[in-house]
Amino acid sequence: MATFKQSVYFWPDSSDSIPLNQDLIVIALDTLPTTLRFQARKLIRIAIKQVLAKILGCTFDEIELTFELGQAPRLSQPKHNIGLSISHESGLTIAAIHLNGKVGVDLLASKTIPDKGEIETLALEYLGAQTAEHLSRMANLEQKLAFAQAWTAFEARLKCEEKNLTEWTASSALQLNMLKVRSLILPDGYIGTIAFSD
Amino acid sequence: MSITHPFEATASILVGSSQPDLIQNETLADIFEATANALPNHTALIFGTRKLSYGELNELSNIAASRLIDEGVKPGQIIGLWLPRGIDLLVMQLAIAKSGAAWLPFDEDTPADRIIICLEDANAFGLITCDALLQALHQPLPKYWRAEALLLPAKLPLKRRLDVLPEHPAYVIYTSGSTGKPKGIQINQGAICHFLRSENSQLGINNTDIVYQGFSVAFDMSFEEIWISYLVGAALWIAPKALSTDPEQLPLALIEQQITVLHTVPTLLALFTLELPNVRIINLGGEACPEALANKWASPKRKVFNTYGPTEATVSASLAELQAGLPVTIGRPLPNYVLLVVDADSTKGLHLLPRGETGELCISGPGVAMGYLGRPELTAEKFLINPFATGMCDKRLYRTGDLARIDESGNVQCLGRTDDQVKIRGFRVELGEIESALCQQPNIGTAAVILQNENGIERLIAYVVTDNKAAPVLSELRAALAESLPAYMVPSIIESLTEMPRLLSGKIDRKALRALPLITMGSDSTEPDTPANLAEEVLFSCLTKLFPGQPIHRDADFFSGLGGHSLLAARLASALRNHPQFSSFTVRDIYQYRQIGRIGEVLSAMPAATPAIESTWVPPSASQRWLCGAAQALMLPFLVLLRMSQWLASFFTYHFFTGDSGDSISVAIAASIGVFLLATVLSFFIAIAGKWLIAGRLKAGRYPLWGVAYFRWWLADRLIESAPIYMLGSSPIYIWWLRALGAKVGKEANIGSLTLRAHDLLTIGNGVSIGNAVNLENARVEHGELILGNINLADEACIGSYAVLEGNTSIGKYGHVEGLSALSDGMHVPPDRIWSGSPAQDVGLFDHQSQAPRPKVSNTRLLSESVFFIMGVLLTAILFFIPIFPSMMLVDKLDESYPWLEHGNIAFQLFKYFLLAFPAIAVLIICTALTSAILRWVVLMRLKAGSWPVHSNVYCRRWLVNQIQESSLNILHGVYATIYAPYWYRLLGAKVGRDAEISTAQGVVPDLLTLGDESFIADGVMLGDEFVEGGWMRTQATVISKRCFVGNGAYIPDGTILPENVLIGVHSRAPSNEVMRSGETWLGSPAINLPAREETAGFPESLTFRPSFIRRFGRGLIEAYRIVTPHAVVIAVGYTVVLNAMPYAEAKQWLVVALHLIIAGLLYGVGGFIFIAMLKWLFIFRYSKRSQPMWTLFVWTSEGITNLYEGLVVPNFMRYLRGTPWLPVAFNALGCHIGKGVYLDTTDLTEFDCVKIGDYSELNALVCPQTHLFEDRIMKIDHVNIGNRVSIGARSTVLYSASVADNVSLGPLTLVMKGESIPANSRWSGCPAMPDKQ
Repeated sequence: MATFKQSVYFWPDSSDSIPLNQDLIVIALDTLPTTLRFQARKLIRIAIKQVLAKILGCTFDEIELTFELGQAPRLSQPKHNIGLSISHESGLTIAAIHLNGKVGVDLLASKTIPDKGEIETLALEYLGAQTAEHLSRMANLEQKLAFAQAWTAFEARLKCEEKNLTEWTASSALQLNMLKVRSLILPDGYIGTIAFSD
Repeated sequence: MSITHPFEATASILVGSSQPDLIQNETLADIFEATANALPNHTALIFGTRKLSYGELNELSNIAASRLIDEGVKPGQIIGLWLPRGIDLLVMQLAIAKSGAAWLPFDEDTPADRIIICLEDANAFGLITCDALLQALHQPLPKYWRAEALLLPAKLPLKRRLDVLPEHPAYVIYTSGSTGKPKGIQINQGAICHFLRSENSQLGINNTDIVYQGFSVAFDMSFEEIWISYLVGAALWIAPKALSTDPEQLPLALIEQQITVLHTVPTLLALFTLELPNVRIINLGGEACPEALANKWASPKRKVFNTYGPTEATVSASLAELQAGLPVTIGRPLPNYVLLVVDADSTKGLHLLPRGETGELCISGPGVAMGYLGRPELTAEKFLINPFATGMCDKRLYRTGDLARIDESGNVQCLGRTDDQVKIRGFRVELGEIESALCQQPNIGTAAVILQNENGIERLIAYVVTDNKAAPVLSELRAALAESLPAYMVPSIIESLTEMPRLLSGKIDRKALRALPLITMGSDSTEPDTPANLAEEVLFSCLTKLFPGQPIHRDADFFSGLGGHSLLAARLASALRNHPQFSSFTVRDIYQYRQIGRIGEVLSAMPAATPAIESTWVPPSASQRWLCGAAQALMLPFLVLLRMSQWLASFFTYHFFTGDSGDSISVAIAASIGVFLLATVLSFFIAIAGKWLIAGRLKAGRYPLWGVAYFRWWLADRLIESAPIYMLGSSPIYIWWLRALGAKVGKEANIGSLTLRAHDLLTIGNGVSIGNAVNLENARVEHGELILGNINLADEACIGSYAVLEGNTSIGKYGHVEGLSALSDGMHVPPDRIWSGSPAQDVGLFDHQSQAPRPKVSNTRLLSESVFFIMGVLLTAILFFIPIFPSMMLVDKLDESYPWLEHGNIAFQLFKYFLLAFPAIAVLIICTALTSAILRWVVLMRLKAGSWPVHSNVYCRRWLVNQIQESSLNILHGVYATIYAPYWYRLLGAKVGRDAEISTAQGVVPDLLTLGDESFIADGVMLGDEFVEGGWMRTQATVISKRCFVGNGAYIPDGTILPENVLIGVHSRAPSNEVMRSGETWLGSPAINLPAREETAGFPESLTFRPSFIRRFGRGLIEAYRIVTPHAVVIAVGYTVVLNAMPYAEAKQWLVVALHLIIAGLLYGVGGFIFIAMLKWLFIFRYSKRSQPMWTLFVWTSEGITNLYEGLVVPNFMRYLRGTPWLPVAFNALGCHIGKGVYLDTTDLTEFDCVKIGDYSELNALVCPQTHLFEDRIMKIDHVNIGNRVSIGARSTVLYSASVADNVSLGPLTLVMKGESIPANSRWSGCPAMPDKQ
């Protein structure tokens, strides 16, 4: 479970405050309250390009990102080992930049967290028996939050490994748990986690 | 300076400011070149990644212009321009301008027929196009140029235009015509040049701007974008075509490109939901502008203009700067233009209306065109002498056909059309042209088209009345229209009417049409689809809960259509699994199929009611179990005798013919060999006879566990197993053997080696190939029943090594099952398909056409091969039996040398012979190794990589090498997994590096095997065996590089090259060489790459990879003892038994001799078991969770006990207990915790105390609760917990630290990973284990 919390910088308002010397940067973007993501997608890409241009000391146009369905966005310049990951929710989009390796980020809106019974089923089937048991001992509200954190950690790890969501298996859990995770400091109503490898 | 018209104060006339300086003696080319000369390095065009500066653009267009001039192009001519959007289009446009000619632009999508009509109508001199578009023109053109050719480098000096005047045409634009024929409007150079300067005097675009270029060049608003930019030196960003009409992507692109000037139509801007922070000028035109747009977009930082003008008046004639909260107008005339509102009734002549009245808007000024090309009547109707002219520039006017009035503030309000002409997406559309096109389609009688504005989106709606009652096929109608009309003119919706509403005048009543409800807007329907079956009912119900309020449509995509994401996908999968019939649905199905309809189909196709796990089965009673156990116990002595007689008989014979002074050793050896051969051959015949006598012909079905049928099957299985089948592998004798036991085997089948549990139920077609160590487990126990099933392998089917097939499976003709794959009950491989993995899945087509044809073989060859294989089997058996004689002679010699040893009781004799056997075994092992070496290096040559027919001498040689390996194992099996193993492999021809560890590798082709330094091969690895298929044998070099680890039961196909430090996990198949990288970990079948592995640290290298000499010596001693001990025990028991039975033999009391042997055999088996149990309890006591480096006493001791257990107790005792209730008892005696009623068909248990198996569980053949693993040369031991009533399929492994809860079913070849907890009442299968989909 993530203990250290990761700061998030809102673009473009806080873009000047982004600590460009850190390995791990998470930027966020207020978006329309819709599940349609095309605008958010485009804007976050612009935001990533702007931040990367600052970090790498080049122009906006020199940053080339490639996007392929089902894969993490990539910086086209092969000389950099920069990991990128994006997650959207209605009203908020976040992007993680890892300057020295792969990264995955996931975001969940509190209102989309399912109810207790469903949480326990989902936890058992996707997060493993141990997590399910851990969650089952919690009160409703605490359980929701813990589930959201566990779920976003799970999804962030999957994204970091560029894997599709699958039901829990020990082998995949073994693989995923090799990655480090941190919870994100986000506005009320959102829970997010970043996963990365050293 | 502004001027005032004499009537302006009272009449509907507005005069723009008079700015004579805007009217210059110039052409478009002059304007561009002035800027190019002034700002040569300034960016002119950006398209994708390509940029051109003004200088570069000038140079390129000069080259193309020069070529055009060379081709005879000159001022006054019209040149068609038909190119895709992009830089080349604008270069060509400029080139035409520079040649002095006018261009006639076509949109890329313009139908070829329309282009031909327009070119002919305009009397165009030629057409500039490109290779790609040229192909679409079906008829030859008199003259055309390819842009690619015009842009080729040219020799200097370039030609320049001559004598181009402002009166020469600059461009011609065709608009829709009401008669169905488009009409061309010709604008001269002076008019357009003036317009550019006039409008920009109001807009204020400058050379720091980045201007969005989105309009088609066929639409004259593109002049505002392109040529005003050229005028001032601004940069133009050319948008990709798809983007220019995408209201979602476009604003994002505008932000990204930092666009400052946007010319667009209001409809598009209305759909933007994003703020455009960089845009400082928005110029709207082409359509009426809603007020909301002004309110939203106008701000102190951003000017929003609404421009108005028909093409006939050169792009625009008026302009209004919009202000939030103020009414939207088309403003006032541009400098030097005049706007007038006249009586719309043209029969009344040009009657200027009073201010405020509504009438037809007219335009006058330098922008008014000369008229329509080739339409003098229409020109005369629309272009008139201006009776209200006050100067040189307003002598003519154009009647726009738009209704307008001049409001109190002196701005013009546009109020719609006076005729049927509309504008859509900036294009003026004559509705009559569309109607005319519709009426040309078969069966269409009458057609009417209206423009409808719904929620700010304008679309064309066509109404048609057919000649007969047949409704038109809408898709065909739209396709037909698209062939003759540009895309923007094809109606969005086509409605079929029975009758067209008409006015009294007979004209179509368009107002009535607008009032009609639309009934064919299926695609916009908000009504959900109705579920068509049970699966859809469940699916739709689940989706409705996840997406409340959203209509569910079959064609909707779960993610992009419904807005689903991964958590919702997970919730949907879980919700569907709540329904028992969809319990095997996984979230992967949603990702794979996405569309709701397809997901529904997947659900529908799922087998009906996969039972969760049958939890109500009643285990057989204890009395039945023990009754069967008692019967089995009675059979045990005979089974033991069968095994013992094979070696005791020859032992006995040797001693029967020796011992007396006149006895000949040679005769004794010959007799002993003869008896050995006889016993060996007899064991096959006894097994065949016993099988038929006891079990008869088995039938597929379910039989109660511990019942009579079970007992008969069990006994036959044990008898068959007792024969030395390993001697027959890969030879035709194996086929005869299988046929003799009831299997149906076709011609030219090639079988490496296999276990088969019900021979009668196996059908093998012609040409079938089966690899090594294949398990045909068509008999298994599940839920208290013995299940016998058929296995059918059609002609030319192929099974790779180490595959597992349960009963009720089949492989179609040319079907393939790859190595280490599993087919569980009910799986059928279709013909020509390749299945792979556990559980096997379709991975592709097998192209048997590409396979080399099966080599033909003569009957003579077949006959001689049969003789070769029979002789080969017998000779290798004899050769590896012969070394026993020197060792027996040595024992006899030692025995005779010390007469005091000849006395004593049986225990003393056993001990004596045990000790005496040690030097004798050394002789035996050395002799066996020497025999192997001589055969290997002197008789047989090195095997090379390549392909050979299975009926070739190379195949026979490979078989013989394998026979030597297998036969030598009888003596040398103890060598495996010891410090001596590398030496043995080197002797056989393998290249083995320093400190390599090799356990029980199978299928090794020594000549082609390389094991790197410090590599580790764990137990039961299938390592680079030959591949046989379609009558050919393929051998390839296999390389295990330095520090690689290959886990238990893994499969390394031949040709595999493991890079350094690669780990192949337990029961895992090495992937193809291309995907593996140094240091990687691969697990499963098919293998998945684990990014990192758990590494055990904390132990010094001296205990793992770099042991001291003392440790090596210590291990060598212990392992030498463990190699010798089983043989010493055999000799000790053999001598004791034979010598004690000899007096009865001499007295010819053969019955007593047999009884003696049976008792001795039983005691031998039981004695061995007790011996190992004592060793275990004495040296280990209880196994518990621990990690221990390899070079420690504990590991050597534990491995020694395991090896003795596997080498002594299993073959002589425990294996006969498989499938009996006695086996759990025996294991419990060794420390296991096995509950009541457990069915065990496996002896693969090692750290006994760590194994816990609950009541009534069933572990089928070769199942392994793997309580230890060597990783990084650390032996890790932990518990394996298997619950009650668990059923585990053949060759499955449960790794340590894992638990399997009650009532679980695991399929064949399943791997339960370390630490995994399989939940109760579930069904899992696969490597690694996954919830079962069946």
